[in-house]
Amino acid sequence: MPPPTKAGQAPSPPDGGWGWVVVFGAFISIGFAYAFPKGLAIFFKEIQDFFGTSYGEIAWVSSIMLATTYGAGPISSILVNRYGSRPVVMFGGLLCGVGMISAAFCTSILQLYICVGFITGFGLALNLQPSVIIIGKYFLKRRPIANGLAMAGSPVMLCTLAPLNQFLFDNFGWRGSFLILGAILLHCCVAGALFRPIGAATASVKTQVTEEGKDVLKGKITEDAMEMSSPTDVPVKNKTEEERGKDCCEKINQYLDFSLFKHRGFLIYLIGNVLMFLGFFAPIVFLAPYAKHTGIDEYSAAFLLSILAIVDMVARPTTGIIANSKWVRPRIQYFFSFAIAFNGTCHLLCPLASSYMGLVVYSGFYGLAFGMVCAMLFETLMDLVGAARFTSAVGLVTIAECCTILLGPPIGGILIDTFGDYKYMFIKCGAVMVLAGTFLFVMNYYNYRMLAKEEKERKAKEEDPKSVRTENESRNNNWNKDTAQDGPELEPLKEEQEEIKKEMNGTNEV
Amino acid sequence: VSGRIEGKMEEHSGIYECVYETNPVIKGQVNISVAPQVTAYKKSEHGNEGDTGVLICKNPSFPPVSSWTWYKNGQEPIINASGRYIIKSNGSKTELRILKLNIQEDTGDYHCNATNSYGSGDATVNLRVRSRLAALWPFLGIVAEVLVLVTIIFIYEKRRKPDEVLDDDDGGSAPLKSNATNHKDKNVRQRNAN
Repeated sequence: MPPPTKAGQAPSPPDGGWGWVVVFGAFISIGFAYAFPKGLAIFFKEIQDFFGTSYGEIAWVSSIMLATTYGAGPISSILVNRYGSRPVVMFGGLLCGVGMISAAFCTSILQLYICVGFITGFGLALNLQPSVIIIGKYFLKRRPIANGLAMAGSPVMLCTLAPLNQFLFDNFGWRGSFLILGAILLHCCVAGALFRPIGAATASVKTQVTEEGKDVLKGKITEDAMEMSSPTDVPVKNKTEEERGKDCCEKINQYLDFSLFKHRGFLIYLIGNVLMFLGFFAPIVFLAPYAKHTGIDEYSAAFLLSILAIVDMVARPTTGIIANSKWVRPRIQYFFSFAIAFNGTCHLLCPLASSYMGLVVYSGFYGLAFGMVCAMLFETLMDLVGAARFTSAVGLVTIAECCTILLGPPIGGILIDTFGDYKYMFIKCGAVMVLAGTFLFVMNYYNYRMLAKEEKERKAKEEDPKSVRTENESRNNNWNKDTAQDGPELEPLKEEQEEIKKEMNGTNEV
Repeated sequence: VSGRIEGKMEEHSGIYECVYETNPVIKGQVNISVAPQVTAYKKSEHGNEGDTGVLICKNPSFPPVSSWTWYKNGQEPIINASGRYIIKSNGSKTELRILKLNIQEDTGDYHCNATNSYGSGDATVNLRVRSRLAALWPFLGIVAEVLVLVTIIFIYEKRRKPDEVLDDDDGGSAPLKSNATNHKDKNVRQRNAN
C-alpha cells in the first residue's frame, strides 16, 4: 500500500523552510536569465569596432539570445517533466558558462551569434523555466510572495551587472570580460544545486515508482469522478500495459501537456499575455532615446532607467505580499488585469509629460507597474492551471510570447521612424496593454463564473460523505477551480487546500 | 554688410560664404583660420598583448593639418613603417597603429603633434597594454569558488538525506488518511518536511 500512495501523492508544499533557500536560488537564476541579455549592451560598441560591423548586426546577438531564451521554453519544460528542476538548471548554468567562455575566443560575428546567442540563450532558458516551476512545487499558501521575491532577481541583477560589466570592460576588454562573465554565469549551477527535489514526481530516482503509483491511482479515481481531464488520465490497470498501450500523442502529452490548449483558463492567459507583450518592453527600450530627444542630457536619461529599476525592485516583493493577502488572492486574476491596464495607462499619459520631472514621475509609475506585472506573471498562470500542469504550461506560453516580445520594440521603432515622434509608440503600447488588461479582466470574470458553476455540478454528482464539505467549498470557488482543472490525481491535495483556505478566510470548521 | 559670431575663434574656424541673392548671384568668402585644435579620440586606450593597438587624434578645425607627428614620451618621433608602427594621416585625423603590443615597451604616453600654416597643436593619448592572461586569474578563482559552493551544498544534503527519505514517506501516506484528521495531518506533515 505505502509505495503507490507515497509515489502517487504530491506531498503538501512546505511553504517555508528550505523553500526560502530555493527562492534565493530562483532569485539568482531568474535574475541572470532576464538581466544578462540587457547587461551585454555595454560591450556592443567595442565589439562593433573590433569586427567592423554595423550596429544592426550586433543587435542581432541580443535578439537571438532573447529569442532562444523564450523559444526554448517547451524544451525546458519537457526536460523538467522528465528529469526534475535541479539537473536542468545545473546543466543550463554549465551551458551558459561554456557559451560565454567560448565567446571569449570568437573570431567572427557569426561565431558570436552562436556562442552568445544560441548557446548562452539556451542555457538561460534552461535556467528560467525550472526556477519558476520549482517555486510552485515548494509553495502554495505563500506562493505569491515567493514568486514576487524570486522575480525581484531581475532588477537587482540588472543593477549589479551594469556597473560590473563596465568595470570588467575597462579592466579586461571584451574578451576578458566574456571569460569572467562565463565564470560568473556558473553560479547558476550553484543556484541549481539548491533546488532540492521535492515530492515523488520530481526526484528522478523515484520516477519509475511514481509513474506506476500515479497510474494506479489515476485509474481508481477516474472511475469515480467525471470531469475535464487530459488524455493521459485514461483508466489503466498497471504500468506495463500502459506503456505498450500508449500511443504517440499520450507519450508527448506526458512530457508536454498539449491538452492545455483545451483548458479555458490557459487559453485566456495565453491570448491576453501574447497581446500584452506587444507593448510591454518597447517603452523601456525607447525611454532613454525619448528623454534625449526631448533635450535631456545622457546622464539624466540613464538616471530615469535607474529610477525605473529601483522602483521595480521594491514593487515586485511588495506586489507578492499584496497578492498573497486574503482579499486579493482569490481574485488574483483581476489584480493582474488591473496591473496591466495600469501599465497601459501610464504609457498613454507619458506623452503629456513634457518636463524632466514629468518623465521622472512617469519612470516611477512605469517601474511600479512593470514590477507588478512581472511579479504576478507566473503566479497567475500557476493559479489557473495548477502546479502539476504548470511545467508544460510555462513552456507553451513562453514560446508563444516569444514572437510578440521580439516584435514589440521593432514595431515601436518603425512607428517612431515613420512619424518622427515618440508619442505614437507610447500610444500604441498603452492602447495594446489597456486592451490586454480589459480582455483579461472580462474573460477571467467569465472564467470564474464558469468554474463556480462547474464546481457546483461536480459536487452535486459526488457521494454523500463529501457533501458536508460541499457547501463550504462552493463558497470558496476560486481555489476549487485551481484543482478542478488539474484532474483527479490532485484531489487529496485539493482537500488540504480547503483546509488552508478556511484558515485564510477565517472560518474555523474542522 | 557684416556678420557676428559669438565665441572663441578656435571653435568657429572654417570657410564662410556670404551670398547676395541678386541675378546673377554674387558670393563672397571669408575664412576663419586657426592653429590646429587637436584632440585625442580617446584619452586612454587599452590594448591586449600581442594584438594591434590603435591611437587616434583628430583636428576638426580649419585649415586642415599639413603634417602630423607622433612621438613617445621624451623620445624621437615615430616614423611610419619603422618597426611595428604604421601611421595613417589626413587633414583632419591621424591614426597610429602598433602591431604585436608588448607590455613593457608599448605602455605609456603618446603625443600627436599637428602643424599648419597658422601654428601647431598637440594632444596626449595614454596606452595601457593588458596581459593576455590578465582575465585568467579571476576566471579560475570564480570557477574554483563555484565548485566549492556546489560541493558544500551537495555534502550538506547528503548528510541530511536519511531524514528526508523518512519525511517523504510520512508526507506521502498522510493524505489518504481519513478526512477528519486531515487538518492535523497537514500540520504534522509540515513539521516533518521542515
